Amino acid sequence: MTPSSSSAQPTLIEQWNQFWFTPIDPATLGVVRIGIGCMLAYSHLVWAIGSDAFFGSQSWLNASAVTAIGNGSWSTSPLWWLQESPALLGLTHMAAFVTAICLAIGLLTRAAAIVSFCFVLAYAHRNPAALYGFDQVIGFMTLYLAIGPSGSTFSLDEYLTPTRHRVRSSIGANVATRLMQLHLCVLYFFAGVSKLKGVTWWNGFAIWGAIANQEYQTVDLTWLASWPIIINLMTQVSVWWEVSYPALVWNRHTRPVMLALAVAVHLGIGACFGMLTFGCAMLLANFTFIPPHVVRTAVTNLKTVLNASSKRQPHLPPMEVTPLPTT
Amino acid sequence: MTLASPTAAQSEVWTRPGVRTAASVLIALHLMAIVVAPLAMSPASPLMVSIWSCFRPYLDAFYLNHGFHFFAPDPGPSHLIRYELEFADGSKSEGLFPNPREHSPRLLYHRHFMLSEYANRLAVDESRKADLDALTKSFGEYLLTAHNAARVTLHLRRHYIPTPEHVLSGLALDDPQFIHERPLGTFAANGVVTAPAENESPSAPITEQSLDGLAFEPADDIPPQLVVR
Repeated sequence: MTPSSSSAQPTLIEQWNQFWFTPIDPATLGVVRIGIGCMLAYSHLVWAIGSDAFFGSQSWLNASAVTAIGNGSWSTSPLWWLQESPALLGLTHMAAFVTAICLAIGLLTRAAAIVSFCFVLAYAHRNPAALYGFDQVIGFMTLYLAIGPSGSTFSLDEYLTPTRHRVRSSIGANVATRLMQLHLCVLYFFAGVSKLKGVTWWNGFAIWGAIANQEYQTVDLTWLASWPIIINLMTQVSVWWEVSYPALVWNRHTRPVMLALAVAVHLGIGACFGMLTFGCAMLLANFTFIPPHVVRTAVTNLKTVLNASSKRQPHLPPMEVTPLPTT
Repeated sequence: MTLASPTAAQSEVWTRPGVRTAASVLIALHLMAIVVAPLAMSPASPLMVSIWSCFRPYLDAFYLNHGFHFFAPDPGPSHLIRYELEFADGSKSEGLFPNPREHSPRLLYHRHFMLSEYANRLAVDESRKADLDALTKSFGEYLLTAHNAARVTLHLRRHYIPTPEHVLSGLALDDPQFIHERPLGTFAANGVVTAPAENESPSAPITEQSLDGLAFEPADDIPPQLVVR
């Protein structure tokens, strides 16, 4: 290596700063915020449906059960104080729902994101045994939305902000997006390597374990019993995709393949195994790898198409107005 | 500056070396925490467990303490809770959770599904018998109140996954041979609790049917206490 090429090579610190502290357009973060806000609102709606069963004084999990599960002193929830009052619980569900809607539409976004995350914690700590992957993904995504300026675009906040003060690039947006991307990579890596301990992920029949699981099944795919080669293919593509995702998603050539597989896997799981909410949450997390300029261009094109189609709508002829006779 | 939108001044904050250094340290610690959480899941080295215990208050408080072991090491059987209710007038009824007909939409179904799966997680660990008892007592008390019943008896149902050969031979997914149960106890509205009978105790061996041929059973997760229904 020549001295000149050596000096041109950025140092580790420069690369770190470039990775984390380069300002970016918050367009991707804005779309993710809309999606996560909608999913949070849906989640709170479902919690409200099961309010008595999950939050009442006689609920599936009473205080002794939650202690037995091993929730530490750092996992307390203020919802315990409200368990005797269905009215207060109802108000809490409504407040959580409205806050999530504010996050989705981007109204007072920073405050909405912070309060939404507090609601996520309160609900999760109250019912730690009733949670699954969906709650985990929604939880960390909401945390990162509270860190970045997720309401600075595609939001009511942007609409209400004078044009000259609007943010077109932000370091905070980059920090939040990077945290989402890295957390997703950690998730896929451990989801993948933990499967490598299992025999069925090696012999190619693990996916059969989901297909023939009646409690998950929403679409009957047991006809695949006659097509073991398809089951083998689905199993081994799934596990190798998960294991390789954290490395290959960063390369611009392999990223489209990784993201296309994410869409196939998560929509497939959502449609066939009844986990559409989890699938949508995972796809939103994957969306953080779509570059902001692509998102911005797509949204601009969508606006153009919508404007053009609204202009093409036939207009009603003006009504003839007959003046009232004067007396 | 408003809550709505960060101004240029906010971005300038990030350009200060002190802010960047502090942010970098916090980011690095946070990333270490979310990586250590799955590394500390059993089986884990004492090193990872000790590092994890340093981060645990942060991970617990911010609901970040996740292992991400989805469908690992193998997709296993499902676990449900079957309950028998006895009412003051002597009538009886039976129920199951999760139940797709009762627990809708699907997200609500999954929340109930996780409750019964959690009961199994405690049931397969002999050292957590007291925790399982606390959980099942909580389930029992809820069911007594929700149904206004006098007594409830709970059973942990394990629904094994048939192999492709089973399905090709014409067996249904819910064929009785794939369903095994163990009693969890009986709870009464007056507070009386009855443990499973001696011959149905959690330590009783499988009595009738061999589990050979049932696929997708993780080797380290076969509870010796399952009783064939």
